[in-house]
Amino acid sequence: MPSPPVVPGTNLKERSRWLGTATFGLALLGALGLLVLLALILQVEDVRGWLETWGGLTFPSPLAGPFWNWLALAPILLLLLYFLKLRRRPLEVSSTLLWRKSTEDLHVNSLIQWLRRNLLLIVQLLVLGAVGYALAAPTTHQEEQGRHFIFLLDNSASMAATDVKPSRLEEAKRRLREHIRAMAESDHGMLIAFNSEAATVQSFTHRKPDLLAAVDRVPQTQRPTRIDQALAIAEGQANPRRSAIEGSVEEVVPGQAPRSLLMPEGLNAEAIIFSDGRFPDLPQFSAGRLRLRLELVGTLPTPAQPSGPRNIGITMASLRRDEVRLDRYTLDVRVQSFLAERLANSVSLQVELFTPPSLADRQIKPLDFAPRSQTPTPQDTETIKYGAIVPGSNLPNPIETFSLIDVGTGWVRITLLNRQTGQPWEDDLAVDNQVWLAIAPVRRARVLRIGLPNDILDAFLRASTARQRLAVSVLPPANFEAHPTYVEATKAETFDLVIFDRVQPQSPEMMPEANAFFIGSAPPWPGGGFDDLPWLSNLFVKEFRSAHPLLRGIETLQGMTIQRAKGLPEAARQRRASALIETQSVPVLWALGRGRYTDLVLTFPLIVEGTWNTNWPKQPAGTLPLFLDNVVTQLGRFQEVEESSRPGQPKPLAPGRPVAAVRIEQVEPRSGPAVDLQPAPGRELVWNSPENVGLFAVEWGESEPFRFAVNLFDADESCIVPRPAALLGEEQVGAAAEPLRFPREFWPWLVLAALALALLEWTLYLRRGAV
Amino acid sequence: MPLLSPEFIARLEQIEYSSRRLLAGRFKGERLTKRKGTSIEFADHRHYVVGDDLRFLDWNLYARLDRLFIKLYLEEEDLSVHLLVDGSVSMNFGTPAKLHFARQLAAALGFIGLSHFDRVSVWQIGGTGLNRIRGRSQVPRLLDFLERLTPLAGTSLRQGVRDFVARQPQRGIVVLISDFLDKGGYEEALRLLVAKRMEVTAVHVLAPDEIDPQLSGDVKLVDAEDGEVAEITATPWLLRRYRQTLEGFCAALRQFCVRRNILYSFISSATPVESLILNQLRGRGLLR
Repeated sequence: MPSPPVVPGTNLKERSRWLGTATFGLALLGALGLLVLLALILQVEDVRGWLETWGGLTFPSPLAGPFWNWLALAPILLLLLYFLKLRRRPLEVSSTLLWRKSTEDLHVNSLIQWLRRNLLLIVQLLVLGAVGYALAAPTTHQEEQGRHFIFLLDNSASMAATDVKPSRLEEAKRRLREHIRAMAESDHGMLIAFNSEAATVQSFTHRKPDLLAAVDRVPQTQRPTRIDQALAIAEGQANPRRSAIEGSVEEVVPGQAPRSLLMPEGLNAEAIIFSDGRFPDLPQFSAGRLRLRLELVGTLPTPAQPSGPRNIGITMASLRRDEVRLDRYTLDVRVQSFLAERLANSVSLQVELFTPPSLADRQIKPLDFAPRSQTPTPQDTETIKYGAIVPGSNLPNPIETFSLIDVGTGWVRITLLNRQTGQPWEDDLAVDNQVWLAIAPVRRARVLRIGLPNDILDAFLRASTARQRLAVSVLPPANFEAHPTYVEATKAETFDLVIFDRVQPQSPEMMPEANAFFIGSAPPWPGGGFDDLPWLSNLFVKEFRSAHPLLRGIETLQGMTIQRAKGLPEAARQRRASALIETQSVPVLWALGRGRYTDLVLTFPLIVEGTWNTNWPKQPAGTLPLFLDNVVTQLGRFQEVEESSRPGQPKPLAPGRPVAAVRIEQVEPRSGPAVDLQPAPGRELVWNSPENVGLFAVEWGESEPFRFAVNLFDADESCIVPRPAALLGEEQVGAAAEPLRFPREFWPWLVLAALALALLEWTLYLRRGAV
Repeated sequence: MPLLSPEFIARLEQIEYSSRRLLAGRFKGERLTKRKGTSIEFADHRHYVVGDDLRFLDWNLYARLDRLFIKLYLEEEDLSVHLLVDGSVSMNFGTPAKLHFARQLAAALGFIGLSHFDRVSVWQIGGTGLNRIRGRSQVPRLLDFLERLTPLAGTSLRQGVRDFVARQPQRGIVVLISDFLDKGGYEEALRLLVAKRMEVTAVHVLAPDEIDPQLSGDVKLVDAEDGEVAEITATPWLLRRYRQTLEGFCAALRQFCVRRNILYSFISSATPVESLILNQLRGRGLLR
């Protein structure tokens, strides 16, 4: 008795079977449809136009038409192969009786049977379709092609803030990578990393892997932020100043010779600054063709969290010798809170004094902070300028003062503590929570005085010697060039300052290896000498350079007169000469460069034949000792305490004697390997790369190492509230309302899809081929 | 590999055929038949006639009734056991091969018969056979015949059974060992045996690959018997469908057998013969 015909949908099993079959059918139709659409796109102009109009989609395929004709054969060939059933393997069985019975009802609908068998065909058609579309290179065009992007990545200290996890720099890198990946293949990008300086990490390239690798190379620094160099580099790329004749045009004016006009051709580049906006405004900046845009990184204050990022930092610390008790130091520390709310009973300040290798003193002071003087709201942050967010408040005590005993050599470690736990204070920026100061013996200026008796100068030198500021050696004026002390001074840096009072060496070769201060004399110059110059009489000071370090603290020289002085000729001031004090006729104080030394030339003597040549010692009162003190401090390199430097700032090292090798090691917190410097004779010893905050020890053969500290000490850097807009030139640069839109090329995704489908097809093939 | 292991032989010696009917034998044997004979099993009385053996007179009855009666006893005769082995090419498939399994089973059943003085005949369907061997001395002959059994192409179950019936076999037990995958059908063959009033047992042997095929992909199946081709795509759905068809086929065969009082037993060639003998056939009454 024949079985009743199967009615679709009579039970769940049958329904699912039909559903599966329908899916197979649709997939096959879809695959064929995709291929037909591709053929239409490639062959029919109107279809391409329609897609470009409505979807912004173009197919700039690099392949020629005949290739597509050959590719069109591929699906036909594939279908033929399937119809020929080339892949069916023979397999001998005991009897086909049961198999025949099993497939009897399937023969009723041979199309369904065929579809079921040919899943591989569908997958292969889809692979062909994906490859075909990938080769057609579909691209959306929101904007023009071939743009130039200049990425400016801030890696200053504030970018280490952890209000965005894991850090602002990592977040900025993540976003930058997204931008790079979204760039079209024809776009170019370059990467500039900036902190207190700027460096091109990657010049213009269209190779995204190079750009991504360059992003990975940008390290976190602890330097302050300045954007001017980075913008200058970017602006230089956008607005090149061409000097070549290339690209010039001939302009012919009747009656005149033809002339070439240079047509500078800049780039329409877009500079995208990945930063927290904590850099100074640059109102004088001229962007030219450069378009600027700020990609803000960091957490802005919200009504729910008005503080924004949390930070308390030590923004200043300095040691000075106590004026009254000479065996003590006074330590001034400024701690600032950048929080919007009041902070009480939370933080304390710990000062530890170390005399190697032990702790000599520890002092702890509790700190309370008033709210930040100005709290920006999200509404007004748009218009806030740099500095308008007041760095912080430290009321009621602006500066905490500690008194420390003079331990000779050692260092001070200043740490913010959590008052509740006694552990180090934790906030979003760690770099300013601990600072160091080095204590070194007072470095007295080594002065060699050569010349005639001079009451004024000698009185000053005696007073300064008594105050432990100087160590003076005196040579008689007669035949001083033959004196062993002077001979040695011409060969090695045995003195910091040599004072020539109305005497001078006879030749430039006999100049000492030190700064020199000439009083009523001048260094010799080829073809002449100070003695040959005529005297000028009755001079009065007209103006002086009050900003110069040697005249620091001098407010006025009005009324100062000079009876006799000489004018320094042009031949004597060939290099790096700057006039510091000028009279109505000639300058009377010159600073002349000599290698790495400075020769200060006072062109008049203070005393002539026992009488004062100038009223400077009296009028204006006190300016001459101040000037002489500046000379001793600056040129004599008198140093009371070792000033700390900032990360990235070159650190000059003055061993005071020739040294063969210098080794620098970071001792607190311990980090990295020691650095060896090779001092070159006759050149100032400078370590260019103290990058991290901390305490450094320099070994150069002394029993006790020379120590110096590197600290951030930058309230603007410690204030880590992001600034969403900055004034760069005339433009208020901020984050754009909409994210960047790039033309996207889809072919890599299609290739990936083709690969995935091929993999699926291969898997199916293997599974079905095995018995 | 020997068809029967010594341990299995030792167990087989304790087993004998259990006929559901008392079938007449031809020679003196160990099995009671309907015939009257000389066993110790009392059957009936009858009047004494001259010439009867006086040893069988029932003297007790004579004393009571004063008439002579002879005591009759049931006769013990042998039993005819016919083993029909399907030796077609299709039986040579499977791991282990179905034919090997059939050989082992025939050897075991033949040994049981020979051990109890039954007359054992072994026939390869469509081929030759051993007719009416008897006694344990014939066991080597039986085993030798089975070992030399080779698959024959172009056989038909129906024709093979018809040939067997045409040889006028003695009524008895028939054990038909086959995969029953005959495109000509198995019904007529079984009907012929039943019509001959045989006590039929059908042992349905299939290989594991036939019970649960592990196929995948597009395959062209070629029938080993007739070379017929079936193109299939072995999807899970089709394999499920095959298993359903197989279940239906077995159920129909079982139903056919039950209706005709045929003992049906389905077995995979991977199952040990011991299990079939000691459990299935013993439990169903063919053996005891």
